[in-house]
Amino acid sequence: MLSDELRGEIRALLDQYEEPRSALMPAFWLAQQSDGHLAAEAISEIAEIVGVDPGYASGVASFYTMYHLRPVGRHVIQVCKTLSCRMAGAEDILEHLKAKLGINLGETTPDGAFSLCTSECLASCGTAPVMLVDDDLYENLTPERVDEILAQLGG
Amino acid sequence: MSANSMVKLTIDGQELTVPKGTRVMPAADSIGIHIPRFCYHGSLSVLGACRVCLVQAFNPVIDRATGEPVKDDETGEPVYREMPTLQTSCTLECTEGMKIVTDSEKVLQGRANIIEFILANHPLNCPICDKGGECELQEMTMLCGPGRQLFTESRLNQDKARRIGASIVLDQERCIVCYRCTRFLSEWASEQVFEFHERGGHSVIEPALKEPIGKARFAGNTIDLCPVGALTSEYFRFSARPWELADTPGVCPHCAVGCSLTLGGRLGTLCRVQPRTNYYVNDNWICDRGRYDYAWVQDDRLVAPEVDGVRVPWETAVERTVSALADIESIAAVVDPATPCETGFLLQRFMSDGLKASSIYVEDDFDLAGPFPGTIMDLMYSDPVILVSANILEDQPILWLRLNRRALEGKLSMVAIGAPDWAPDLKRLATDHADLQPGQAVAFLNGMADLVASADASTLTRVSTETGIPAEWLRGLVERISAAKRPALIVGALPTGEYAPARSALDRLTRSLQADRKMPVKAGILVGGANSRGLRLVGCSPRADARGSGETRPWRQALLAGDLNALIVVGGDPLCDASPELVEAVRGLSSLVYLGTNRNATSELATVKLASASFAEEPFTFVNFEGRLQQSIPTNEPIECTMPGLRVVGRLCAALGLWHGELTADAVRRSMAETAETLRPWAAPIGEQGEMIAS
Ligand code: SF4
Ligand code: SF4
Ligand code: FES
Ligand code: FES
Repeated sequence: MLSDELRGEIRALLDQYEEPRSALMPAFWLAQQSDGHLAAEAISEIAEIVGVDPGYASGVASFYTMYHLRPVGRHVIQVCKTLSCRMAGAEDILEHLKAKLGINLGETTPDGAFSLCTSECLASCGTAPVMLVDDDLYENLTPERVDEILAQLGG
Repeated sequence: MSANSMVKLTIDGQELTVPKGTRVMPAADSIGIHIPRFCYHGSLSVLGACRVCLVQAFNPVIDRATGEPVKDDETGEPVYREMPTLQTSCTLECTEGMKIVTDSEKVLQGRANIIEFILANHPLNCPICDKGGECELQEMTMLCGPGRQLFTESRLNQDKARRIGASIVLDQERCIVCYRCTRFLSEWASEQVFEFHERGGHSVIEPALKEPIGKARFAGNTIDLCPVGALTSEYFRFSARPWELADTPGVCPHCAVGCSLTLGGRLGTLCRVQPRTNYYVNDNWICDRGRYDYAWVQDDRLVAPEVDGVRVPWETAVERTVSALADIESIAAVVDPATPCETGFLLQRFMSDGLKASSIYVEDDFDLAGPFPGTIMDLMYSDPVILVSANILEDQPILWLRLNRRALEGKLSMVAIGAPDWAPDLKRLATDHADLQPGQAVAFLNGMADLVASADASTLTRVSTETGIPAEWLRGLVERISAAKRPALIVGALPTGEYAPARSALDRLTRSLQADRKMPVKAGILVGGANSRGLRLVGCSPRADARGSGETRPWRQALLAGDLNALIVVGGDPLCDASPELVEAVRGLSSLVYLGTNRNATSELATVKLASASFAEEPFTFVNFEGRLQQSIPTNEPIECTMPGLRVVGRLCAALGLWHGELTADAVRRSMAETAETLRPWAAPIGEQGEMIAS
C-alpha cells in the first residue's frame, strides 16, 4: 500500500501534465524512492490513481532500467558495459565486483548492502570504465579503486 | 487541391505527384511499386519500427542564396545529394524533386542486413508454424533475405503457445516487435487486451491486468495484422495450411453492418473467417463475433430433409410441403433477418402467388423503424454523433469501431444517451454520455426538437424534468449541435409502441436540424439484422392479416388467437424461448415447415424440416443497413444432402408452377430484375465493395 502522503504527492503530479498518463514516470520514481524499489502492487495502485490499465503501467515500468521491479540492496551498483567502458576493462571490474561481493548480476548480497547490475553507456566514455552507485558516478575504475569505494560505502 | 499542396517526385524513375505530407511507401504503392514492410500498415499510425522498408533518397541541392535548385555547369541538369543513410520509406515524407531508389544493390544489401537482424532471435521453424505459407517474414526472407546467418549466439527462449486474449495464442519467440497489434488495439479498438513490456530484443507481450482475458470485441483483428506467426487464432491454428483453403469473398450474416469477409473453407469445413478490405464498410476489420461465431456451420446441422422426423428424399419433402400448405388458409412465414435476398424473393412469390391468404413476418423491428437514412461514411464524417439508446458497440460493432477511430483522431465526438444501467462500456468509451430516465427516449427526441428550435430556460427545465438529464448538460448538447456542421443521430431499438412517436419526433428534429445546413443531416432509427433491408426490397413484409382483415398483427399473437393454420419458419430459432401456450398453439397447427441450417427448438417442433446450406455454402446477396448490395460466394459445397435456400424455395415454387427453368442464383437474380424496377441492380455485376442501391 502506498502511504496516504505518497498518494497525495502523486495526485498533485497529475495537474502538471496535459495527459494524466505522463505522470506515471515521476509517480513511479516517488514510489521507488520511498520503498527502495517499485513493487507490482505500487504499480497497480499508481495506475489506478493515474487512470490507466495496470498492464499498461507495468509495461512502462519495465521499459526503463532505472526502475527496480524487485527489492534491491541499500546500494545499487550499475557497471557500464557499453563499448568504451568494455574496451577500458569494464569486464575485469565486473568480475572483481562479483568475486568481492560474492554475488552474480541481478543479485543482492545476503546482508542487503549491495545489488549488482550492468547498464548501457553512462555518457562518461572519456573516463571509462565507470560505474554508477545509487546516484553517484565513479570514474577511471581499477579493482583497487573499487575496493576503496566499497569500503567507503561500508555496506 | 492547389498546386503548392502537391509535390512531384520520382520513384525508380517513374514520376508522380502526391499531396504534401504523403510518405514514400504509400506513394510507391500508388504506382504499383511494392517496398517490403513489416510494421507499416495503411490503416495504422506510422511508426518506423522494423526498418525493412529501406530506400535510397536523393534530394535536389538548393542554392541558399537564390532558393533555386543548383544546376550542373556542364549538363544543366539539377544536382542531387543522397541522404546520408538509407531511409525508412514508411516514415520519409515526399518532398519536391525527390528521387527515390528502391531496388539498388545498396538497398538490397541494407534490406538483407535488417532481415538478418530480425532473424537473429527468430526460431525460423516455419514447417511447424501456423503462419507458414502466408507469413510476411518467410516471404521476405526468401525474397530478399541474406540466405545466411552470421550470429552464432543462441537465440532467446521465450513463451510458446500462451493464451493472451479472447481466442488469441501468442508465440513470443516469433514476434518481431512491429507493434501492429498494440497499435490497432489503442488506435481503433480502445481495448488494450495486451501490452508490450521490457524493451529491445527482450520486448514481450503481456496481457492487460484489469480486464479478464477473453473479454474483447475486436482483438481478433490483431491475428490478421500480425505479419508473422506470433499471434494465431485458437480456432484456426493447425487446422489447415492457408494454401489449402478455398478463399472466397463473403458477407457477414451477424449484423446490419454487413462486413466484407473472406471465407476460408476446406473439404466441407469452414476453417476461418477473416475481414476482406472494404473502405466503405469495414476498412480492414471485423468484430470478434463475425470472426469466431461460425461453429454452428459445422455443429448440430440438419443434414437432410425430414418429414415427421424421418429422413426423406428432396422430392418427397417438397411434395409434402406443397400438399400440406396448398389448400390451407391463413399461413404465415416467419423469416430470419439474415435470410438472403434470393430466398426471400422466391418465398414471397410462393406465399403470395401460390398460397391462400398468407403473410410474411421478418423477425425484426424494421417495418416499424424504417430504414436508416445514412451510410457509414456519412456517419464517419458527421460530428457529433448522438446515440440514443443505440448500443452500436454491441449491435453494429464495426460501425462503432470506425466512429471510435474518428473520435480518437479528434474528428468526431460520440455522445451516448440511455438508461442508467444501459451499455456501460459504450458510455465509458463515448466522448460524453448522459443517463436517460428509462422509457424516455421519445421524450428526449421531442425535447431535442423543441430545444434546437429554442433553448429557453423553461423548455430546458421541462425537457430536463421529462428525461432526467441535467438542464446544463442539455444546454451544452444543444449548443454543440447548433454549432456543428453536420450532426448525426442514431436511435436504437425501442419498445414496439414507441417507434411511431419516435419517428415523428425524429422528423421534426431532422427538419429543424437541417434548417439552413448544406449537408444533409443523418438522423434515424437503426435496427434490424444482416438483410432486414434487402428482405423488404424483395417484398418480404407483413401484408394483410392472415384472416384478410387488412390489419397486420405480430404472428405470435395471431398464432395464440388460433388464427393461423400453418407456419413456415425460414432460418433462426424463433421458438427458442416460446411460452408453453405458444408451443401448444404450434402443436395445434396442421403443419410447421422449417427451412434452416441447424437443429434447434423450432426445428424440433417442425413437421417438415428442409435442410438448407449455410452462408458459407450458398451464393447469396444481402443489403446492409445503408442500402449496400453485396454478394457472397460459397467456399464450400452444401454439406451432405442440404441445398441452398433459394433452390429449396425455388422447388416449392416450381411445384406450384411459379418457377420454370434452372434454379441458380443468377437465374433468380435475373427474374428479380425483371419483376420490379427496384430490383434491377440484381441483374448487374456486383463490385467487390458492393453497390449502393437504396438510400
Ligand atoms: S505479435 Fe505480431 S503484430 Fe504484434 S508486435 Fe509481434 S509481430 Fe507484430
Ligand atoms: S460488425 Fe456486424 S457485420 Fe461486421 S463482422 Fe461484426 S457482426 Fe459481422
Ligand atoms: S561506454 Fe561507458 S560511459 Fe559510455
Ligand atoms: S515498414 Fe518502415 S520501418 Fe517498418
